[in-house]
Amino acid sequence: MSSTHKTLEDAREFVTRVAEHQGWALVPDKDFLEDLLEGLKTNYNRYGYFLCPCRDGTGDRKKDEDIVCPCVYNLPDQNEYGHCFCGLFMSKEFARKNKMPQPIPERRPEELQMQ
Amino acid sequence: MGRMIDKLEFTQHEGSNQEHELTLYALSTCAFCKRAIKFLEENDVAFRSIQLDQINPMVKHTVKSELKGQFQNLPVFPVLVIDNQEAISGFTEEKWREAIGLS
Repeated sequence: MSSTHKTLEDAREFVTRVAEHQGWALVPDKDFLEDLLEGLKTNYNRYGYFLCPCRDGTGDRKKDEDIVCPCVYNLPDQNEYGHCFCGLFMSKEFARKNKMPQPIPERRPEELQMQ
Repeated sequence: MGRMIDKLEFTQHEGSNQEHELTLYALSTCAFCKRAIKFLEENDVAFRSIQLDQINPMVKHTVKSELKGQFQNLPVFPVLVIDNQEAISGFTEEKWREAIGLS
C-alpha cells in the first residue's frame, strides 16, 4: 500500500479537521456521512486529491481545483442554503435544525462543468 | 453516427414497476446518487443505471455533452431520464415520486 493511500478514517479525520477549523458542522445523518466519506476516500485514491464526491471531475487537479473539498462554492452555498452542494458541511445553525440536506442548484460555472 | 449513450453498458435493475423506461446516470461516490438508487429499488421500480465516474473519461465527456444537448440542461448527478423524454437532475424524493407516478 502506498503512503498516499487514504482510508475511511483518514477521510473522516480530514473533514472533521476542516469543520472544526472553519467553525462548520458535519451532516448529522450517519449513513449519509459514511457514504460521503467513502466517496472522498475513493476519489483521493483515484485522483490523488479529495475531489468533491458529488461532482464529476476531470482527474486533472488544476482543472478540478475549484471542486477539491472543501470546494470554493462551500461558503456561498452554506450562506444561501445552509449546507454545501454535497450536504457534507453545514452551518452550525442548519445542523441544529436536524434536517436532511436537500439537492441545491449547482453554482459551478457551466464551462468548468463541461471541461 | 450513433450516440455514445446508446453504446453504454448499463446495469439492469429488475422491478415490478415498469411503467416508465428509466435511466439513471450517477456517480459512485455521491451520497444523493446512492439514496436515489435505494429509493428506486425499495419501490420495486425497474431501471437501468451507469456510474459515470467508472467509465472512460472521454466517453464520459461525450455522454455529458449528449445529455446536455438532448435535455438543454447541464447534467447534475444523479440524473434520471424518463422515457427518453425528460431528465430530472438531483434527487428529491417527492419530485421523483411524482415524475414516475408512484403514489
